[in-house]
Amino acid sequence: MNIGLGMGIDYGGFGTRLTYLPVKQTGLFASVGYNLNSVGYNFGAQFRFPSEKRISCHLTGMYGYNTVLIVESTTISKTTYFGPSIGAGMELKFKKETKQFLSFEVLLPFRPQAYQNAVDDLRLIGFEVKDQVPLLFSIGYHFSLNN
Amino acid sequence: MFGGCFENPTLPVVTTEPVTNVTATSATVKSKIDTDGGSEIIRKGVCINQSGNPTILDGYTIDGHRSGDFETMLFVSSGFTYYVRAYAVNGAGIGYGNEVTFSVVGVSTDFVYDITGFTALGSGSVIFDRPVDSKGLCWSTSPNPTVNDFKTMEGSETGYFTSKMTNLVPGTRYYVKAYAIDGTNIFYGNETEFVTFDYVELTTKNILNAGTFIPSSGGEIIDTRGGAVFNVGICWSTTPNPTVNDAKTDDYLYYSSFNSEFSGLDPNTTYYVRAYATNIVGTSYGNEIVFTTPVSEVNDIDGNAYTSVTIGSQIWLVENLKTTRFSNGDEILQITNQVDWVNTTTAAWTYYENESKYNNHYGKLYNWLAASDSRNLCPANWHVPSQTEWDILIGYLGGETVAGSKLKETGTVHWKPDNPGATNSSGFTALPGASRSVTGYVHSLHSNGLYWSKSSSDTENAFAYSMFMYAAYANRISYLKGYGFSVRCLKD
Repeated sequence: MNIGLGMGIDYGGFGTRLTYLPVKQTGLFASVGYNLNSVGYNFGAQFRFPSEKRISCHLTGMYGYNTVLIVESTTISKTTYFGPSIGAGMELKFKKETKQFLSFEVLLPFRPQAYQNAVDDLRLIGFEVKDQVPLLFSIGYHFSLNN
Repeated sequence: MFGGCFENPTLPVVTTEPVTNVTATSATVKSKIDTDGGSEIIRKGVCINQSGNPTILDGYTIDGHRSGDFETMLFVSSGFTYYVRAYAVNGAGIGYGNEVTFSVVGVSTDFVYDITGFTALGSGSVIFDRPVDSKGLCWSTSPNPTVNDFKTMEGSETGYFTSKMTNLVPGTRYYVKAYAIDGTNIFYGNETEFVTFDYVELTTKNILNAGTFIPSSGGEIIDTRGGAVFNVGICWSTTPNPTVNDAKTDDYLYYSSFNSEFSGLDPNTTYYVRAYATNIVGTSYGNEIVFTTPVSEVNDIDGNAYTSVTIGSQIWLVENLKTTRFSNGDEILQITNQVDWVNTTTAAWTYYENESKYNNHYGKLYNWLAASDSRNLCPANWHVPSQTEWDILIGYLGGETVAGSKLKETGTVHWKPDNPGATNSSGFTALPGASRSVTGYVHSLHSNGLYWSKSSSDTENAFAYSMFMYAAYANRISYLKGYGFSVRCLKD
């Protein structure tokens, strides 16, 4: 089990992620943070590729917040959208025997159709809505909670 | 368990309420945002079109942001049906409310014409894309008439229409609007106003020559009240409030005044007289005047009644002679043909221009053979005056140069168009009966009064006495005996 602090949708925005490893190659995690609109959260799983080196890789799948729609009009309106996201990442230990590591992740959010409908409507009546980037990145620093 | 935690925002739920306050140019619609869909409302308003199912791609309003009811004033053009939906925008997009529809009927009030005292025609136009429920004109004596006042109903077809307003009151200002009803909405055109014509306002002239058998009256128009005057005259009866259904005259209106001569009056009878005038509204009457005809002092052999007046030592009849017979009962020849009149060698009489209507006041015109006939033209105990007797009268009144003014009737009822200086101070009441010519020279009615004496000046001529409308004189002139002149009798 480890806990990390980071930023990215797999950290709920700016937040923390708690990962539980029932088996060595699989991690189940939950994250919660602030996504610039409200509380952002995700639940997911990781498949970790076995590695004896300082760097290891993993695949991630999760469900939760993956987009915040921001509209600037008379006021600034923000709306959180939920959906599945997948990604791939790696963990980097500064020393082979240490229990802290950095986690990097590249994520592909599957934004819901409701989001795309909203973007279309808002653009239709003249609001400027910036295109969201297709890939997201996250970074976090994790501590092992096991002795 | 976590379903609610992962719920994406939904479109706002909006209700469009029925449109109210529909006028030719505007309407009001209220809207409610029932739910915001879990996202802040960033814009709200209504969208509108004329084909149905309006969206933001049609015309729309912006009525603020955030949740809450809102009211929208719509500016519209008349003649169309509109469809309206409220909308609200949140982070999930645009949510539309239910569709409501309303119609704006174009109505204009065009003209009011053919105005009488009780009716008027009006016209209007209704512009709309389908028939209305009803249309017409509404009117009131106060501004801003509505269908709750007086109104006509002219069916449901759109377009130009005319309508007749009835039961109007003469002399009243009315305000009128065209209207059209579509469902619960009532549309009005512009307001116009008009004034119904009124009865003519007039007064009855005082009786002229009261106490004689040649009284006259007339009327003065005070106000025509906007309409043309068709008929004027006087009407009289032996009972109060005479109308045109009683005895009446039809006279000529000269500017705002007219004169009227009575006819057929009985002696010693009280009459009620009123001037009348008829216009498009109807007949109105002037004030009532009461007078009593005199007792008949003298009757000729035909029964015509006369009054008399004493002037100096003489007693004269006040009316011109009307008899058709000598006092012994012999008929006097009536001649209408001018050639026969010129060539006759017997006593004869005629009407001026052969019109019997002149007999009433002017009497008949006699040639000198009638005036001088020994069978006596005048009633018993009366005679046609000689030159000497006329001269006595004129001398008594101050001589030829001034006697005419004292002999002539006053005013311009008979002496026209002017009669300056006439006082009738003698009571003689000379009238301008004109003449029947034998030479081609015509004395005009209303301007010349000519009276025979029975005195001959020579074999072809005799003396007559002449008065003229503009002059004060009463001249003795020698005329051909064939002329037809008036005769005034002197008591024996």
